[in-house]
Amino acid sequence: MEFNDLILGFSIALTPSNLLFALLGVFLGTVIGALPGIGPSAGIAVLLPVTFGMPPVTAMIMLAGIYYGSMYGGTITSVLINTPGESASVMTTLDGYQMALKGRAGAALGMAAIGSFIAGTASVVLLMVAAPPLADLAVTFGPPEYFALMVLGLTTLASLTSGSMIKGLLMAVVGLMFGTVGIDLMLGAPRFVFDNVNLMDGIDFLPVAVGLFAIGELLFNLYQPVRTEPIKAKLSGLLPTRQDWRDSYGGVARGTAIGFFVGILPGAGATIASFLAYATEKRVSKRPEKFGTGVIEGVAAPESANNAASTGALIPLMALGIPGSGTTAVMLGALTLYGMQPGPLLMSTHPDVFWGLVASMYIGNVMLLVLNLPLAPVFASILRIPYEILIPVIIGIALVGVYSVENSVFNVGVTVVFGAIGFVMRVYGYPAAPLVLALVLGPMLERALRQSLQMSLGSPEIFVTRPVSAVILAVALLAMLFPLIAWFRSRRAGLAVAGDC
Amino acid sequence: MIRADIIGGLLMAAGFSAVLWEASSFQYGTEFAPGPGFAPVWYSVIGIALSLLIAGNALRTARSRAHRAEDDSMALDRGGLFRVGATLFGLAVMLSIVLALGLVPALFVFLLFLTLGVQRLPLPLGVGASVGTVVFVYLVFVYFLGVPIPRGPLGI
Repeated sequence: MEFNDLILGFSIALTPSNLLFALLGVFLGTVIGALPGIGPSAGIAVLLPVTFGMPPVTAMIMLAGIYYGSMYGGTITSVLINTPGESASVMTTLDGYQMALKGRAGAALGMAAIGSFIAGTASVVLLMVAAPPLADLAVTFGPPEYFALMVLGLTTLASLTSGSMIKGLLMAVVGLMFGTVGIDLMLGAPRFVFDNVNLMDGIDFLPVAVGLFAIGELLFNLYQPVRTEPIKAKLSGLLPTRQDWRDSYGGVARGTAIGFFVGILPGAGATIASFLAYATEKRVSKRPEKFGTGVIEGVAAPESANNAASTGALIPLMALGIPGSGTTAVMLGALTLYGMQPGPLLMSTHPDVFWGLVASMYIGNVMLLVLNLPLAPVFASILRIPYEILIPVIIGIALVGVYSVENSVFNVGVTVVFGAIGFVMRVYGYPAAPLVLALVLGPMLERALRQSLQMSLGSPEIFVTRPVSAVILAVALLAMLFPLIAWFRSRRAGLAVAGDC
Repeated sequence: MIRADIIGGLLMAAGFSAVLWEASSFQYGTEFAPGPGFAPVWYSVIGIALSLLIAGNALRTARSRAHRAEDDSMALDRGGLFRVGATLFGLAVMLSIVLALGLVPALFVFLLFLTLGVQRLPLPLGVGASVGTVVFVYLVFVYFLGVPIPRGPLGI
C-alpha cells in the first residue's frame, strides 16, 4: 500500500456525487437492515439496476454502503421489537431487547452505533493493509489454486449455512449446474439451451439473485405474514454512560478482531462472526450469568463483529475475486456487470475502484455514526409502515430493475421462476446463498478445473502435488468433515437429535 | 418436513438424472483436456448422490417413531399457499400481457391484483400503493435512467 493510493482514494470518495451516493447507500442500507424479511443480499440485488447509470466506483461505493449500513439497521428491530432485521443481528436480540424492556433501548442502539463505527473503521484499516499483499500473492496463483479457493468458498458456505449441510452442498451443486447453461466458453458447444436463444449466454446471476433472495422471501412473507409488534420502547439517552463504556470496550475490541478474521474466511460471514463474538464475550465476562438479561457488552460485541465482518468479507472479493457469501457474490456479479474483471489484478487495473471504495468506507462509517445517533427514532418509525405495503413496492422495483439490465422480459420470467423456487426452498429449509454463490463462481470454477486438468494432461494429481492448492483443498475437506464429525460425536454421546446432519 | 425431504430428495435425484442423461450427449473430453460434458456429468453424479442422501436420511428418521409427530405438525398452511399461488398466477399473467399492454400498465394491473385481491388491503391503501409504486419505478427507471421499456396503447 502506498500513501498515494489512499490520497487517490480520498480524492475520488470526496467528490460531491460519491459523497451523496455513500450517504444514500448507508441510509438505504440502514432502512433495508431495519426491515424484517429483506436482508442485504436482497437489498443489493434489487437496487443494483438503479446503479447502472453511475460510474463503477460510485456504484460500488453505494452498494458497499448498503452492505455495512444494513448491519446496523438490523440492530434497530433486534433491540426494539425483538425481531432481527437480518440474520447477523440475531445475537443482539438477546441483550438488546432486554435492555429495551428496562428502558435502555437508547443506550443499546447508541452503543451498537458507536461499536459499529469503531469496528468498521478499524477493519477498513486492516482491509487496506491486508488486501494488496494478498492480491500480490494471488497473482502467482494458477488455475489449480483458484479452483481450490473456489471449492473452499463453496464448501464452507454450504457447511456453515443454518440447517442441513447436505442441503447446502446440494444447493451449491444446483448453482454450479445452472452455471453450465449456455455456450461452453472453451470449445463453443451449446449446453442445456434447448434451442432457446435467451439461454445462449447462460443464466444471468441477477434474475436468479433477485428471484431467490427478494421475490422468494416476499412470497414467504405472503405465506407467513410478518407480525411486527408496535414499538413500546422509549428512545432516549443514546450516548452510553461511563459505566457502559467500561463494560463494553473489551467487547468492542474482541468483536472487531473476531468479526474481521471471520469475515475474511470464505463462507463464514457476519452472522457467524456475531455468534462467535457473543459466545467469546460471555466466556471472558466476569458476569456470564447476566448475559441474556440486558448487559450492554452483549450488544456491543456482536454488533462490532457483524460490522467488522462485512468489511473483512470484502478482502477475498477485492483481492482474489472470490466472494465468500451471498451478499458479496451479488457484489461480484455487480463488478462483472460494470465490465470489470474481479481478481488480483483489479487493484492495478482499476485502482480508482479499490481505493475509492476503501476511502469511502472511512467516510461511510462516520456518516453511519452521524446518521444513527440522532436519527435512530426516525429509522425506528420505518417499522410503523405496514409490511403489506412494502411487498408490492419491493416486487415492483425488483421486476422493473431486472428488466432494465438487459431490457429483457425473459429475465423477468426467470426472476419469477426463481422466486417460486426460492419460496419452496425457504419452506423446506434449502439455503439460497450457496446456490447464488455457485452460480456466480460456476463458470470460473469450471474454467479453472479444465485448465488445471489441461496442464496436467488429465491427471487430477495436480491439485494435491501443488502445495497451496493441496492445503486449501485439505481445509475445504475439513470444513465439510467438521459438522459430520460433530454430529457423529453427539450421536455417540447419546445427545443426537435425529434428522439432518 | 421429513416426508417433504423424502419426496424432495427423490425429485431432485430424478432431476439430476435427467440432467445426467442430457449431459452424456456432450463431448466428455478431448485428447488432452476435459470437454463441455465433463463438469455437467460430475455435477449431476454428485447431485444425485446428495439428493439420495437427503431422502435416505429422512427415510431413516421417519422410521423413528418420535419424529412422526413432528412431521405431522409441519403441515402447510392452505391460506398461505393460496396467497402465494395467486401471486405467482398474477405474475404469470403480467408476463403474458407485458408486450401487449406495456410494462408499466401490466405492472399496475398486477399490483392492483396483489394488493386488493391477494393481500385484501383496503381500497385506498391498495390503489395508493400500486399507483405510488408504478410512479416511482417510472420516474427512476424510465425518466432518470432512460430504460427503454415495452410501451402499450397508452404510450407508457
